[in-house]
Amino acid sequence: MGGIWRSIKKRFGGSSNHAQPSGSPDSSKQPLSSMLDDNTSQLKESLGCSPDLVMKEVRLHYYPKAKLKLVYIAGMADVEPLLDSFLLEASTEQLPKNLADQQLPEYLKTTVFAAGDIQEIRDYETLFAVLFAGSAVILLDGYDVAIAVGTKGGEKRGVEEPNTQVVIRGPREGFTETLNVNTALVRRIIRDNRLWLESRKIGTRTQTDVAIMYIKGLADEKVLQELRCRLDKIDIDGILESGYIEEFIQEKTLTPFPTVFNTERPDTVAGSILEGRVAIFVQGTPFVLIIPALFVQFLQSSEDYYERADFATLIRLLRYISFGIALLAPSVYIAVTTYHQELLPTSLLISLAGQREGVPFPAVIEALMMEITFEILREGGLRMPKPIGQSVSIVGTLVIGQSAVQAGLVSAAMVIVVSLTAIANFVIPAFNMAISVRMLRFFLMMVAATAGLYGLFTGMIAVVLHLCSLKSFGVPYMSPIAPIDPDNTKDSLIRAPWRSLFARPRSITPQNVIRKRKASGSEAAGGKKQP
Amino acid sequence: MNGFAKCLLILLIVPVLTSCWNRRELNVLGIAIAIGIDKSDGEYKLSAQIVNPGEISGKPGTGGGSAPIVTHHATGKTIFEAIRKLTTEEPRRVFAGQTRILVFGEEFAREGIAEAMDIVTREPEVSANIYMLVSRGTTAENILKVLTSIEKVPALSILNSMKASEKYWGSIKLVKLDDLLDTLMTEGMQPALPAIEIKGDPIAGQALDHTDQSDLASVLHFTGMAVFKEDKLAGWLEEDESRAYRFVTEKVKNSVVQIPCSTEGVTSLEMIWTKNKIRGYIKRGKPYVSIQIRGEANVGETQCRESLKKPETMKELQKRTNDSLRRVIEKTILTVQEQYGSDIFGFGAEIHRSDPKGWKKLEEHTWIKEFGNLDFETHVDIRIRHTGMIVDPVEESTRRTPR
Repeated sequence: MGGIWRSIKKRFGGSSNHAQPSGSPDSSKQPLSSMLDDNTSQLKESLGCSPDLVMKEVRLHYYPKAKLKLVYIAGMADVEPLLDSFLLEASTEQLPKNLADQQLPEYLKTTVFAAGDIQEIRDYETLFAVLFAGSAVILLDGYDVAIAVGTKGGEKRGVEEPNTQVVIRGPREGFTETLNVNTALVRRIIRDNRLWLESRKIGTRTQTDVAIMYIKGLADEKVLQELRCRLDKIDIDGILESGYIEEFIQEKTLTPFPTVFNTERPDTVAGSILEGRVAIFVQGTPFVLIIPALFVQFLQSSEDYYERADFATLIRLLRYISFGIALLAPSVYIAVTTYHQELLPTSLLISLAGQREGVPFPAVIEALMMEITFEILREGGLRMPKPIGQSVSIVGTLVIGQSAVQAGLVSAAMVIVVSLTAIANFVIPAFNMAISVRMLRFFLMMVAATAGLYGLFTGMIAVVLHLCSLKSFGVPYMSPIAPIDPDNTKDSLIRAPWRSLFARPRSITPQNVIRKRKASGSEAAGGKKQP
Repeated sequence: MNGFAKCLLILLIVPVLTSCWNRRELNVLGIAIAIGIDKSDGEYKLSAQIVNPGEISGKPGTGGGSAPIVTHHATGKTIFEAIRKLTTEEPRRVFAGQTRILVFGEEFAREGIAEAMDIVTREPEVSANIYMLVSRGTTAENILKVLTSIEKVPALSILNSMKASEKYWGSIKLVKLDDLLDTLMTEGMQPALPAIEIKGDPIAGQALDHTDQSDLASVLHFTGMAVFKEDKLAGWLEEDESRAYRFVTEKVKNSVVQIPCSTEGVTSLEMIWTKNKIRGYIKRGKPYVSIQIRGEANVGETQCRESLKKPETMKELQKRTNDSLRRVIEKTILTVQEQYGSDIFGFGAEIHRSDPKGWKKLEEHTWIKEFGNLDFETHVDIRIRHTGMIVDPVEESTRRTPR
């Protein structure tokens, strides 16, 4: 991994001749030779004679003298159908008309491979690009043109139920590692010609396909422009996951909060696009990025839109309460028990004091110990093989918690607070927001331990100020709460019934706030909103 | 090192450097749940009932069979001195933020409680939510030493029984620190505090094993109110008088009154609610108040021989109730007027409020004298609403059948 991070600041020289092939795709702007042998040897040399480069001689029935070579990367291209088309050519009884007039490449393109994605190739750069994309290439002797046939194949994971952002009710489809499949999953939901896709390759070596998807006219042009600009600025040799893109395009402000949303769910992406957001698909990962991301978005689940409004509202409130508990519980406990004992009801204080009898550490140390223990257990459980992981995490927490209390190292109340915090943390639907909460929790614990509730509230004010100053692609992070927008608050802390949810987030799509029910005029996009 | 790293470093160091201002862990606090103030040999004697939390909480393996509280004492020329001196005995810092009860010793109260009020209001740690009591026939120290059984912390036990007897028996009126201060500082109003006494052997009540018995060797109980003149204890109100005092001075939610029957026996009435209305003014140079008490009651128990089915009987009962209540109230006011000369009812304040011009005609700061000349008039209007699950007295029905 480290090698990737040591990003290549200077690109390859770009021009100049390549006496010794470097293997880097953009180093060979060199045209194809008309000699087949030259081309094959050049190819082999470029790939360092890698054995997964397959070269296979094929023959044409009506051009017996023509020398052809089928070139592909083993495992990436599915050449069966291609070979079939040669057989088909041989079995064609009728001789094509004007055979002699036709050039060989033309004949191949029009007659032999009548179907499929066919492309003429004249230089090595494109040749490598299509080769590594999974196409097969036919090299022809006597022509400085090669023909690429789309034979994308090879093993890939199918569409499965996503592991993150699980819902009880809602589609079970999740994105896969293949970009085309992912974009198709969204297109299947939004059948609108205004759903536009822009593609580019990022990563000097990995040449990773990155696609941005939006509804033309709904997505804010300024956001799009900014996104394109930020994507173009990415200078790295490899993109292995959308996390790379996220780090490059997120706001430069130092913040613990995520300003880019990610999801594995096509319905979530579709819903976001319908709200005027932009999705970024990256080849090789099921996690699709969505911008601009707002704070409220991280506490929403796509299920909120599938359940009835009253229930969804209550669940959302529950999430906000859990957010508060996950963020504040240990720090409030520390502040109150070490600075403001008079705030507690007397019998509660006596009970807490009784539990703390004989505990050798100050409450902060106790809390930090338990929190860190829990984080270790969680991380340990996460990396463990799946069957062991869960049990380790639960048993570890229970056993350590209970024996620590019995040994008198920590008080029982602290164990309760820490476990409650941990569970509340799991309620937050977005994993990256949950991580922010985990980080901030420690910060707040420290300020609470230093200056009690005074410190805690100072810390909270700092966090709130920071949240309000944050922006995601120019959109205020806390909108629609700050700045307040009455129409959009219906889908923030609460989820109003669909009948009254006629507004898109104003901050995200300022031009097109009202969702139209019936497709009419220029606004054909927004029928019903999805999550 | 860039700016961010420096900031982070400073932030990380700050908590360590501050040494945590004013931080006190729970297990270094001696929670003084009740404080008693007595006077001995011209010095203040302070007693603090300090909770032994390990003994009370249900944590297994910590209950060593020792008393749930410890009482510490210290004397000093000022109360503040005495409080700080407590630490010479108590291993932990005495924490008064959770003090719920302040008991004034009888002797101390007779000399005046104003001095004690200074520190309890000046000290920021003490909450205004603290209940004030006067010990009757004993010292505050002895009150704090008595152990209780079901509620292990005596102060909480006192607090709970105080609240319960206010609510269901109506014999005392709870007074908090800020109420007391208010009263002390209002002209034309004198304080009255609940009185607590020890029933049984005060020494036996200090031993832990006395709580092992089903019949406790000594218990704390409330006997009514202590009447103060200015800040000095002047005397006591017994239970009936205290109840009358409450009917006059506040809205009572629930109380019990005994009404004698026309022949023999008594009827107990449960007062559902009463409302008081006091009008005061200066009438021909003399202070005058009219007291109106309205309310509703249910029959709680009756020994009378009359059938309650008849409207006349009910009317009669109602009339007797009103008369009897009025007599008790009048007697109480007269007693307070003549014996103690202290306006615990706040009649003066009421006159001040409703007749400020007349009040000004009185000489300044002479209300204590004027209170003796006060004329009053009492109207009681209690309606009896329900008779409970049955109407006629059971006794009446059972006797009738064999005949």
